[in-house]
Order: sequence, then C-alpha cells, then structure tokens
Amino acid sequence: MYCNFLLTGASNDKNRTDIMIKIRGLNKTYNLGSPNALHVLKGIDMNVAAGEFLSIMGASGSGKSTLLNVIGILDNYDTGEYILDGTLVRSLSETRSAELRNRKVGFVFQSFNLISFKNAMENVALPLYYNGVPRRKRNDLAMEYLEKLGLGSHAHHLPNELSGGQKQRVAIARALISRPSIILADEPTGALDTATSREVIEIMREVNRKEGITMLIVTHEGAVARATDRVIYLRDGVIESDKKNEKPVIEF
Amino acid sequence: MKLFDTDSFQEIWATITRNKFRSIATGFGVFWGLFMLILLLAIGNKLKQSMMGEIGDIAMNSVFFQPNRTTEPYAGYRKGRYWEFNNRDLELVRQKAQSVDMISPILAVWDSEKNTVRGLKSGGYTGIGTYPAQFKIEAIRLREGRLLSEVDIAERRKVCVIGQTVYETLFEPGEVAEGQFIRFNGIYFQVVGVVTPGTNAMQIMGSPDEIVYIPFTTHQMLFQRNDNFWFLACTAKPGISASQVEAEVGAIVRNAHSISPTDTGALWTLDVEQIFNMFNGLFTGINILMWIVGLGALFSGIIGISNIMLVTVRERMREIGVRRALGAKPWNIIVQIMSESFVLTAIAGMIGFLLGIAGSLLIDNIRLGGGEGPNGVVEMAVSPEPIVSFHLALMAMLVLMLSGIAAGLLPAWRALGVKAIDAIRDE
Repeated sequence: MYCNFLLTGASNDKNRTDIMIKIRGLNKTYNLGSPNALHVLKGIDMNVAAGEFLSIMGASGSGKSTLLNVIGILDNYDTGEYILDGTLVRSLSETRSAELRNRKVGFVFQSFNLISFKNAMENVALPLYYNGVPRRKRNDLAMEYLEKLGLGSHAHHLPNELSGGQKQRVAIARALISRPSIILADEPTGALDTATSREVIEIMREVNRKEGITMLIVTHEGAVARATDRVIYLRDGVIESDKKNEKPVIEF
Repeated sequence: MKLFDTDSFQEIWATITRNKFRSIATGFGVFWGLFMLILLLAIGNKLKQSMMGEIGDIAMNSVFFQPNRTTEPYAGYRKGRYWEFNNRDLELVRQKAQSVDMISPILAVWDSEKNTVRGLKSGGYTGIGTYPAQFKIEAIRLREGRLLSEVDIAERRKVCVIGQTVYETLFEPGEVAEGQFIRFNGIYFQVVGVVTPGTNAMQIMGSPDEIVYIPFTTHQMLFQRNDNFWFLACTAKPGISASQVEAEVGAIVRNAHSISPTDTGALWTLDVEQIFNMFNGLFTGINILMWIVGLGALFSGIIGISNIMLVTVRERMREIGVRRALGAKPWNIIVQIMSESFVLTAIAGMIGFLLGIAGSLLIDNIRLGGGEGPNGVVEMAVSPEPIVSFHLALMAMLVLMLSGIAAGLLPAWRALGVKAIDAIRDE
C-alpha cells in the first residue's frame, strides 16, 4: 500500500461512459451588480466520467476553490448548467441541496474539519446521522470504514489525540461512509508533511480503484496532480488545459 | 419529521456533556433564576397562607376599644382627662348600636407571684373578667369541662375557666380539674373548664394558656369594686363591616362620657378586619414583588443562556458548517440548537427548582412577630408553614419550557445563517 508503483484504476477503463459531472458554460460572479463585482468562473465546460481520479490545479485566485464549492453544492452559480450524477443542480433549496450533498458528495478538507468533541468513530458516522441511519448501525459501519483505513484501534480517540495523517484518514472514512457518487478533496495534503501526504494520496487512489468512487482533488501541488489520471488547469476562471496523465505516479 | 427522538437526543446530549464547562456556565443563570423564583414564591406564599390559616378562626369582624386620656377640651372638661368604661356603656351599646353582634367587656388582674394557688402548687397568672363571647372572639378552644355561661355572669358565680398552662401548674397530669377549687388572689374559685388558644394570631392580655377566666360580673365585684372596666370587644353583625362598629360604638361611648366626637386620641381602637385586610394587601404586594424579582432573575438567566448560545454559535461556526457540508438540513440545525438550549434550560431549571424547594423547606420554622397594641395587650404573630403548591410547580415548569424555547430562538436563527462554505474555508 505504501510503495511507489504505477496505478491503473477503474478510471482508466475506457469502457465507462457514465457521466458523473457535466458542466456547460458555467459562470459565477461574486458581488454581482456592484462596482467591485468579481467574475470568478468564466464559462467553464467540463465533463467527468464516473470513477475518474482527477485533479484541478491553479494558482490562488484562479477560481479552483469556487469551482469545487459549486461542484460540491456548497455554492450556487449564475448562468450555465451543472448536472451531478444525472441531477440538475440549479437553484435548489437549502434543504434539497443538503440532501443531495449528503447522498452524492463526500468532502475531504485541508484542515480535516473533524468535530473536536466527537471521537473518530462518531465523526465518521455523522453523515449517516443526517441520513437517518440508526445509531448502532451507523457506528458499526463507521467502525468498518475505520478498520478499512487502518484506524480501528483509534476509533474512540478524539481528533486532538490523532496525528495529521490519522485525522485525514478519519476524514476520508467520513467522506466514504455515505457511499457518495463523488469525493471532493480540497487541498487534502495541504496541512501534511510529505510522508503523510503520500500516505493520504495512496489511500485516495486505492479507494478510487477499489470502490470506483469518482475522486476530484483540488490542489496547487504538482506532486499531487501527477498522482492523478487527469489534470485540469484553471487560470483566471477559465480552463487553460485539460490533460490526461498517462502515467500517474506517486512521488513525494 | 420527528422533533425529538432518542437518536437526536443522544446527539444533543453528547454535545452538552462533552462541553461541560460551557454547558454549566450556560445553564447557571437559569438554575439561579428558578432557584430564586421558587424560594421567593415559597416565602411569599408561606407568609400569606400562614396569615390566612392562623387568623382563620378568630372573629375577623371584631373591634377592640380601650379608653385613653382625652386630647381635646369638650363640654367644659379640660383635655388630658382620664376616663374608663362603665357598665352603663355596656347597656348603651347593647341598646343603641345596630351594627354590633357580640359584646364583651374585659377586666384584668395582672399576674403577681404565686397569686394562683392549689394546695402546695402555685403560679403567677393574669385573671381576666369577661363575657362568654370573648371565647368566640379569640377562638379559644375548650379542652375540658365547659366555658363560662350567661348564668355565671348573671349570678356572679365564683367559677373560673383556666388556661392549659395554669392547669399544668396546679394539677397533676391527667387529674380532672373540673369541680376542683383554686385560690386566685386570695379568693376561691371552682374550676369549670380548661382552655387553650385556637390560634396564635391574636392574643388579648397574654396567651389564653396562662389566664384565669372569671365571669365579668364576679371579677368586677371582687377585684374592681366599682362598675368600671378597661377594655371592650365587639363584633359586627353578618354583612356589616367592622369599621361601622368602630364608628357607632365610638360615638356612643364618646357621647356617654362627654368626649368630643372628633377626639380620636381618647379612645384607642383596634379594627381586626382592617388589620387583616392590611396584612392581606401587604402579602399580596410581597407576593407580586417576589414574582417580579424571581421572574426577573429567571429572565436574566434566559438572556444569559441565549447570549452564551449566541457566542457559542459563533465559536461553533466551523462545526455547524461541517455539519451543513455533511448534509445537515437547515431544519436539523434549528432543531439541534433549539434542543440544546431547551435541554440545558430544562436541566438547569429542574435543579434550580428542586434546590429551591429544598431551600424553602429549610426556612420552615421561621417565626415572624406581628403588630403590637400600644399597651402590649394585643399581639399578633405569624408562624409560617412551607408551601410549594402543585399549581406553582406546574407554573414553574411551564415558564421553564417556554423560556428554554425562547432562549434558543435567536441562536438558532443565527446558526441558520452559517453557510458551510464560510465555515470550512481554510484561511
């Protein structure tokens, strides 16, 4: 699991045609209508197939975080069209978008965003709480996922008793537990040292390969991007390039 | 959607118990508020109810009169004249005063050392000469034998009714007093009954336990040696107020003794009804005040909970944002914050409520002295009993529940404004 090897995953299966993300002419402007309006996303077109393992790169201010927020249904957009796993995401109510997020999207954040007073197992189980899964069942499932990520022995530790890598693994387990269509990772290695970063990327790769879950990583680290199958470069709100990475390699 | 199932309760409970200091700090205000409210209301209720209970048996529509030196010159007399009631006043009041029901003159021989003797046993007690009506007015209870009768008065019998303490001093425990003779101030009286006070709310010339009651006429003949007496008690007829009796009897005796009709100083009066009403009003006032103070304390506690919840919502922006990102609906967040405040309020309030009751039981045995007549002859006393009624408890719980909900409203509304995107931003 921790060795440097070429990965060939489900995303490389050219037979998969299911479209996970379909974005057409997407525009997003902050402070629309005011003098200091900021046009952040300027007509984004992109498709992501189910099971892909891709990254979005760009300098800060390029709009990559905004794009991630839109894809994660955390933010809305002005014009264009965004279809997530067959569902048109457009002017949804807070309740409806919460439901969609809960079922279809898993998040992994740079600063982990674990709830400090809940132990690892409870943190992992939290999405299922909002999905109405009974306590015992969701805790059992959370244990299962923690075991998968090698953290079974730390299930009852609070986040501040875990290392950075362990926290991020808990976060990945939390993202996985509701079996989402897509996992969005926002700088997942940003707060980690190289060894731990490598460990986390390997896990994500593995999850993508074994579970077939689409994995979208937003990063500004070249090393992270090189580990993914496809790299989209954003610059000033437009897609500058969209390249297949024929030989993804994990090299930290 | 269920508002309160065990699962969401456990979620809320975990949040509360794992942030202990925050929870305690938050709940303290409401705890203190309810504690104070219950304690104050218990005290207020106790004062009022004990007053009502104590005074219940005595003749509330009675008025007491006592002559005093005149304060105005009138009909050729200088001011500062001494005067006393006499038997003609009794007749006049009986004939003329339409408002008067019962009438009772009072004479006394003050206690002196060993003035009451039976065999080798003796004690010092006050001997009061009065009418049978006095027992009704003071709500004196008969323990043994009989009270004084009209025949005793008419025939000037040398009989007496003794108080419980007098009995205990002069007799062996269990000994029958009825028919026995005692010597009071050198004169033998046959005991016909033993009495004890029915209430401590009002006493005339001391506690009935320590008094030897003698027929008024006998007393006047043996100890006064004229037809004067010192003290007069009257009660109003049903439906007539005591103040009317006060005015009517006052006018009659002033006229009979050539006292100015406006000379209020010459006749000291005590209107029990008026005092009762005054006390009643006072206790109502105290009660209202205690509600205001108690609710004020509780209200500031609620504001405290609301305030701290607001602060913690700010502190918990990230937590709430993460919950939103993981699929918490706005409704979930509202329910969570509201329930947290509700549960905190309920628990803190319950503890405050129970400790308040415990506290009100502690102040159970306080005795409070009441008003006193100018000569110390009339004493009123209040002895409280603990009262936290079911009604009060129910009210407190209702107030608590409403306050728990009210305290959560603003924080919940604020939490609703937390967007996942703002909270989880990594800057």
